[in-house]
Amino acid sequence: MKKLEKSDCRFPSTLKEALELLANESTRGRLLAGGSDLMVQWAAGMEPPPRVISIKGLKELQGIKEDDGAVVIGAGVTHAHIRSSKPVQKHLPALAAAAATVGGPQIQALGTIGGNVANASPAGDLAPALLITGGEAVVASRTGERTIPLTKFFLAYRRIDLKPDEMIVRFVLPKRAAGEIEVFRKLGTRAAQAISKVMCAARFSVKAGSFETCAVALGSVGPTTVRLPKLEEWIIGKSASEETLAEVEKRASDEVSPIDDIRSTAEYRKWVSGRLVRFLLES
Amino acid sequence: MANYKYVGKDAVRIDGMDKVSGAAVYVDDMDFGPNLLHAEIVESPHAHALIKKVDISEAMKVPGVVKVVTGEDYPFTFGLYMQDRFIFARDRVRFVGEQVAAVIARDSKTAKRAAKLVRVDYEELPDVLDLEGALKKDSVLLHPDLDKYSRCPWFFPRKGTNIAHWRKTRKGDIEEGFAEADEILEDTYTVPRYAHCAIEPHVIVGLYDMAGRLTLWSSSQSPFTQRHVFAEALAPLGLTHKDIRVITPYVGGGFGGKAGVSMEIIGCALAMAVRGQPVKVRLTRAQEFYNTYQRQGVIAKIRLGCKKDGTITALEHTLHWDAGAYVEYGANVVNAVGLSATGPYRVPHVKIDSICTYTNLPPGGPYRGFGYSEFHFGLESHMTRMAKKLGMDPVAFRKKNAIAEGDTNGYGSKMNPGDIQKAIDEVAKAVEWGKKEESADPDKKIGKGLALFWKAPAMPPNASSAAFLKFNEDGSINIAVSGMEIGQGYLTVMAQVAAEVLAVPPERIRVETPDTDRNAYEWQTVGSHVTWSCGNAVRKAAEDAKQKIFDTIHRGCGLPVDSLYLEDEHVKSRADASFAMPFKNFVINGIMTQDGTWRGGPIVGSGMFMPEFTSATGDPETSQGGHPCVHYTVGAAAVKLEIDQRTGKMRVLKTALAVDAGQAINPSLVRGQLTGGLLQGLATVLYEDMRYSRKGKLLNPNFTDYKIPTAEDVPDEIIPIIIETPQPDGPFGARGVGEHTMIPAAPMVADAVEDALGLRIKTMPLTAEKVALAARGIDFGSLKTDSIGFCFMGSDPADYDFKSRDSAATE
Repeated sequence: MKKLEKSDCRFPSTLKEALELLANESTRGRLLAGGSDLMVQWAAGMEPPPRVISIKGLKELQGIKEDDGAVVIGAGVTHAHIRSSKPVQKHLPALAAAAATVGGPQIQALGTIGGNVANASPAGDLAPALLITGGEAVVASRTGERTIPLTKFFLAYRRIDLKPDEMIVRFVLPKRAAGEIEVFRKLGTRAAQAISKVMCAARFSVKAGSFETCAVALGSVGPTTVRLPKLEEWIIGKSASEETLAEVEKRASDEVSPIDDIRSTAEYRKWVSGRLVRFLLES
Repeated sequence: MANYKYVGKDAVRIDGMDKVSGAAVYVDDMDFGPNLLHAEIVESPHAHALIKKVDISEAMKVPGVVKVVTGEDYPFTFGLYMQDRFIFARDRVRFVGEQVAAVIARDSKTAKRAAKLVRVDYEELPDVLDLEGALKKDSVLLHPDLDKYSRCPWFFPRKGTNIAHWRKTRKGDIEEGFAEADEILEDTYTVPRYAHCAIEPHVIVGLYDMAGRLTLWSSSQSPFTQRHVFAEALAPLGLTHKDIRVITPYVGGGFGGKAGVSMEIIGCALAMAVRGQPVKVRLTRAQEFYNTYQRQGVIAKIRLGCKKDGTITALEHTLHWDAGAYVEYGANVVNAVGLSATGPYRVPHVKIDSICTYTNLPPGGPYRGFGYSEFHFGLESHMTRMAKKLGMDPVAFRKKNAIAEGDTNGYGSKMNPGDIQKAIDEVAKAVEWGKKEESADPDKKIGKGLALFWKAPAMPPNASSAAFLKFNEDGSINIAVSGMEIGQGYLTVMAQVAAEVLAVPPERIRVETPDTDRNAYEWQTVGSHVTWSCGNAVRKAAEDAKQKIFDTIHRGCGLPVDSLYLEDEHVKSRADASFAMPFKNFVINGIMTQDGTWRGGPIVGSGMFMPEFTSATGDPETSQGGHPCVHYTVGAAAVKLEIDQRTGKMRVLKTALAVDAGQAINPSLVRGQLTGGLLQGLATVLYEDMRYSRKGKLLNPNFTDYKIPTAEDVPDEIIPIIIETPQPDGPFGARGVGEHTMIPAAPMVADAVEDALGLRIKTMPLTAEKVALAARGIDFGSLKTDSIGFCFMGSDPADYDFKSRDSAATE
C-alpha cells in the first residue's frame, strides 16, 4: 500500500457506505477489490488515482448462492473461492476451470470476479466462461439496482456498461441444463501464469447426434470478449459429424477479427480460434 | 577409476541451508544505515542521437537531491576487452535506455522524481537497428573513432565501418574441400537476442570513504575483473587497485549477465561523487532487460560439403552478430565462436568468419554458452539435414564425423580427451532413437531430435585462479577464493577438492564468497572454468598445506616426511603404525619438542593456477599458430517431443543429456547443471521472444510478456547422464559442464519438429505459434507486425547479401 500513500483511501464498512461515496463526485474514487490488476499497474509506475475506495471484504459482495435455475456469485468472490466451489464446479464447470487458470495461486487468492470483469481486459480469463451462461450482471448505485445481460455488458476495449456511481455487486449465472456440456481452454505461451493468446469457452448439448444448444465465447481475439452468434445459430440441428466440425472451424475463424500485438499475431489467433472452438465442440 | 573419499560423492551444498532458511545475505539485504543514498538513472529515449545539452538545474532544486552527475563529470572510457564506452553517454546515445545522467538523493522516490526533471536535448540520428543497415557501404557509423579505442591484441576492428571485430579461421583449402564433396548444402539460420532473467536484478552499493578507499558491494560473477576495470577507468581520479575493494555476497543468479562490468560502473562513479556516503544503484526488472547485457543475435550462413559415404570435407560458416551499441565484452563472444564454429566435428577444410557488428540496440555480452548455443542451432540443424540429404541416419552421420582425442581442430590445435561417441550412444538409447512413435491422440504428433555440442572456456590465455587455505585451532578449514557461487555449487566443490587432499570432511570446511581484499585472485566465474581452474588452485593450496603439515610433524616428531600420510583428520606414518596425530593438536600452535620448545605454527596453504600452454598469437588471417582454448567439453542430447497440431503447442515427453565431465566432483551438482541448463535452453527455443519496436525500444522487458518456463513446463522426464573421461590437467580429472547443458536444446527441438511434421524451421524461437503457422505454410517472420522479433528487419535473412558489403567494408 506504500504506493497509495498520496491517495485518499477510504475503507467503507458496508455496501451502502461505498455506494454513498461513489454517488458523490467529490468522494468518488477508483474501486479496489483484490488489487491483482491495479496494484501491479501502480507498482509498474502508473500514477495511482487521487482517491481509492477499498471494497475488499465487503460482506454484501461475498458468497456463492444457488437457486433452482442459477448460481449467484458476489462480485467480491475470489478466483480461489470460485474454483473450489461445489455449485460452480457442478453447474458452471467452465467458470471453475477458467478461475483455475487466472495467474497463480497467490493471484487467485486475491483477485475477484467483479474486478476481473470490471477491468474488462479482452484477455480477462473469466469473461468467456461467463458469457456462455447467458447470465446477467447486477450493478448497484445509491438509487437502486440495474440488471444487464453479460452479452451486452462489455462495450469496448476496457469499457463496460457501468456508470461512474455504480459498482458490480453480483452475477446471476443460469446453470447448465441437463445434458449440456461446458468446456474451457486457455492458450498461453507456457503452462501457467501466462496471459492468454486466445481462450475459449463453450456450453452446448448434443441430442440424437445433432447439436441442440450451443454457446461459444472467445477471449483475446478482439477489443472485448465475444460470443459467436452466427456460428451458434448455424450449428443448431447440425449433426455432430466431421463435416460439421470442419465447417465449425472455418466459421469460428471467420467470425473473429483479432489483432497483432507483442503476445501473438492476428494470423495465428484467427486460425487457432477455429481450432479451439472445434476442439471444444468435439469433446 | 581412482578411489576417492570425498571427490565423486554427493556432498551436501555448503550454501544450501543458508539459502533454504533465508540466512543467505544478498547485496540488497545489507544494511548501510540511514546515510545510504539512492540513485536513479536518466535514460535515453532514443536509439541513436546526439546529446546537445543536459540541464540539471531543475533536478538540483528538489529537496533531498544530493547530486546530479552527467557524462561531463566522467570523461573516462571503460570496457573489458575494448574500451568503447563512457560511464555516462557523453556526445551521443546509442541505444534506448542508455544512461545519460544519474540523480543521487536521500531516498529513491526523490531520486526518481528529480530524474524526470533532468532535461536532455537530443538531435536524433538515423538509427542502425539491423545488420543489413549496419553493413551498408554508406551506413551511419555508431563509433566513428572505433580504431582509436584501446583493446586487447586479438580484436580486429575495421576502421570506417560498424564492424568491431572480425575473427577468421582458415584450415586446408576450402575450394578443394568443396571440390571433393559429392553433396553441398547451403542455408541460413537466425537466432535472436535473449535475456538472462536472473531472479536477482543487478545491484551495487559503493562507498568512497574519507580514508580514500573505494568499497563496492556488488552482485557479480567477477569481483576481481570488476576491480580491475574500475581501477583502469578511475585511474584519472587517482585510485589504484589496492585502494579498491569489491565484496560480493551471494548472488541470485548470473548466467553471464553479471560477468564483466555493466551497470556496476555507475555505482562506482557515483560513490566517487559523494565521498563519505554509501550510494546504492539497483536496477528495475525492465532495466535488467535492456541495460545490462543481452545475448547477441546472429545470422549464420552455413555451407557444408560431404562425400557420399558421409565424410565431411568442407565447412564454410559465416556468422554476422548483432552485437548492440557497445561490444567491450560481446566481441569476445564473437571471437570464441570464430575459433570454434566447426562444432565437435572433424573437418579437413574450414573457413569461418565471425563478424561483430555494432547496432543501436542494447549492448550484447556474455550469456551462458558464450555464443555456442547460437551457432549450434544452425550447425546442428544443418548436420541433420545433410545426413538426410545423403540418405544417412543423422546419428550414424554424427558418429562418423564426431571429433575424437588427437584430431586437429579448426585452428590447428589437438583435441583433448572426451568420449562423444559414448554420449551419442547413451542419449540415442534413452529416447529409443530410430523407433517411430505415434501418439494415442490423432491430433498429436511425436518427433525425435538429437544434437551434439562442444564448448571451450573463452578466456584470455593467461586467465588464472588462486587460493588461500587456512587451518583453524579445531582442525577445521577456511578457504578464501574468489570464484563466485552462482548456484552451480562452486563453494561445495572447492571444499570437496580440499577435503580429498587433506582428509578433512567437506562439512568441516567453510568456503567464503569473494572479497578482493582478503581472498585470493580469480579472473572471473565464467566459461564453465572455475571447477577446473580454481579447483586446480585449491588443490595446490591444499597440497601446500599438506607439505607444511608434514614438515611440522617431521620437525616436531622426528618422523621421515616420506613416511607420512593423512587420514581422517590425522597425520599417520607408515614408519610407525601407532602414530596418529590429530590436526587440531598442532595446526595452529605447533608441536612441543622434548626440551619444551615448539615447532611449526599456523598452517596456511596457497595455490595458483594458470594454463601455461595457451596463447592468443594465432595469425589474424587464419587463426593458425596459437593455442587459444584450454580444452573442450563434449556431449550430446536427445529429445522426444509431442506437438499438438490443433495449436502448435509442444510438450517435451523425454529428454536426455550426456556430458563428459572428466570427473564429476559432485555428481548431484552435475545433474543439477544438466537439468537446469536443459530447461534454460528449452526456454530459449520454446518460449522466450524478445520484441522490439521499429525505433529500437524493447517492448516486453517484463515477465508478463517475456516468458520463461515455470515448474509446470518442466519436461515429463529428464535423464542426466555423466560420462567421465579424465581431463589430464583438471583437478582429479574434472572439466567444466555448466554452460554446455543448454547448448543442444534448440537444435534438437528443431530436429524433433521436422521429424514430427516434416517442417524445417531455421529461425529461433520455435514457439507454438510459429510452428502452427509454419504447418500451414505461413512464415512467422513474414507477417507484418509492429514489433520485430528477430532484430533483423529484412523479411528473410537468407536474402541478405552480406558478401558485397563485407568486401566493401574490408577495403
